[in-house]
Amino acid sequence: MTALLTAIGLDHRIVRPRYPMLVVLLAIGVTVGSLSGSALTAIGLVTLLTAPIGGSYFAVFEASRLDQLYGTLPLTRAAAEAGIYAHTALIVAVNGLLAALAAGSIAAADHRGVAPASLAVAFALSFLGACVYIGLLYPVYLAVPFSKVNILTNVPFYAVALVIIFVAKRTDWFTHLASVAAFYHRHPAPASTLTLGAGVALLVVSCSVSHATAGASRRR
Amino acid sequence: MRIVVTNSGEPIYRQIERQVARAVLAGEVRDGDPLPSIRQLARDLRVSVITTTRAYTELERQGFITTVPGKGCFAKTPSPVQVRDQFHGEVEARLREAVAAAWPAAMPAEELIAMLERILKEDDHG
Amino acid sequence: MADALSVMGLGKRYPGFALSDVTFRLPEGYIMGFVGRNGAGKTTTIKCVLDMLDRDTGRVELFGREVGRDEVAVKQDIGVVFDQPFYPGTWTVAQVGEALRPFYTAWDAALFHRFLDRFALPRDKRVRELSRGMGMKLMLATALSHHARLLILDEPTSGLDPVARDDLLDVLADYITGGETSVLFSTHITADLDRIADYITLIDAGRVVFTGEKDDLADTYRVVHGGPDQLTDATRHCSIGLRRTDVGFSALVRSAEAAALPAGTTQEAPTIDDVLIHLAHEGEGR
Repeated sequence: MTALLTAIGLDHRIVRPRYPMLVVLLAIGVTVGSLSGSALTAIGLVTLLTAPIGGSYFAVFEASRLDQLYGTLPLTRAAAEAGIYAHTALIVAVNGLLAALAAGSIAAADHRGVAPASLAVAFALSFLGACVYIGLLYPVYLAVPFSKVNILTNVPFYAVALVIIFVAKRTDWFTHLASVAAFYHRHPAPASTLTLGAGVALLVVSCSVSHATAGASRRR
Repeated sequence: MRIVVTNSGEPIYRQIERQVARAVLAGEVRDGDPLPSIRQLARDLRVSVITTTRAYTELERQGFITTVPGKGCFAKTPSPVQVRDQFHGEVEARLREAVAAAWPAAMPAEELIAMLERILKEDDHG
Repeated sequence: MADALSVMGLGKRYPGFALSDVTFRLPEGYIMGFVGRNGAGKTTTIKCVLDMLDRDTGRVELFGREVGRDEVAVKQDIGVVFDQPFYPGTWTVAQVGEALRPFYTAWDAALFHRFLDRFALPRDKRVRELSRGMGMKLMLATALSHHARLLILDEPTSGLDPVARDDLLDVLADYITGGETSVLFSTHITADLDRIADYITLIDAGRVVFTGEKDDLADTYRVVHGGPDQLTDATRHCSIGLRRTDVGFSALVRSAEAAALPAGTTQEAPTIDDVLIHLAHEGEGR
């Protein structure tokens, strides 16, 4: 556990110069949300877009030859990998919660109050979305140098996401998920908790996959 | 005690041996005076520890220093017989080297001896 | 005598290059120069020692403990210097110390700051603003600030001016004085090692061509020079890395065989460079 915390601390120091971008993102997200009258949009935007900021870790890793740093530190590969996942998840969660608080407060002040339950569900679903991003891309980033795959991963990811949203709006896809939506509506607390848990589980699975495949890259 | 090491071609451990022996014989270092440790000397001269170890091992064998475990290395004045034997051996070794060096040049023995006499006349060995 | 580092039969294949049967020992308390030209396999070997790469065959032991997948505790006792600072460019010199401190049980912040003073490294200068020499000194300061028993340096002096190189040798000479610390110093600038190294391991094309006391290297080989007349078949036969010109030749010859060479050749003890160059030329074919 100490090893994990020390690893997270190191990742924090590595990504810290990008933290101002988190604040900017928060401001933009909340502004967009209040202008469009949807606090939920704010939460979604901020939470989902914080993930790639956490992923800038890999750009610094490659540019500064941090493989040499990790090679000299008394830190196991497993702890190092878990630390990267945990750090990104943490800043996603923190920024998302801040967005929920800010957007919720603004909406309330504007007499367009949003129920806390809705805020929680929005946060949980967005967090899960961020975990999908992290879970799919981090095994790639841990196995292959960032500059080699960056164009191939980030851009397609967002392109695919946009396509899905577009298609969903067009085909009214959500009605098929009516029963799921209803579940969230009726039992927001357990649904949110389950969603958050699913996100974390996804991260754990992805981390194990990373551990196995990044091991193969050490044959290089 | 002054020890200076140069890149003159003579092995460094030999230079150290010579200078320490000379210091002891000349009385610059007296019987029982502490000497720099092997590692301290290596550090001061910027040479390897194995080099100074080799020099000190040889000096101890020749009777110029003693090592007291846990305390360090100390100068020791060897007996006159030891001194004579030690330098005797060194002179003989050097003469053998000179003979070996003369061989590839195909110098006849008389020329070698004449060269030795000339050097002895030049060198005021006091 | 315990070994700080013991490498036994290390092997690793790449397409187009392979480390084969790399074996050498560094006894505790001494400095080993790890010498070879660029691409000979020095960095690959060091990465295998640090478990940054998986090895195909062989065994590596640090302080008697086998280096394996998760054997990280041993890294508490190791300090490493690579050729360029391996810290994020945005970190300041002071922040480097703060970042590393939580990892080492024996981190000595006072010692770190004394080194920063000795090396004249401004605390608030960013890593990306450091000159080459200052970058090396920063890595040295961090490597020496957690009471490491083994210091591994991989080409620390490439690109450094002679003054900076001298500063480094000064620090290493101090470090070794206690007798309980050891240094593995890989370089292709052999002038650094000619006096201060106790042991030498020479590597060429992934193979160890010599390992042992540096003095033994000078005893094992001779550099032979001669005129064209002395280049007999017998001479050619025992020459290593023969270089011929119109006015003569030079070659490396084993001391045992040097005695049988024709009259008129000159012989001298080789420097590390001499051995490296002639062995490399031999490998390339005469």
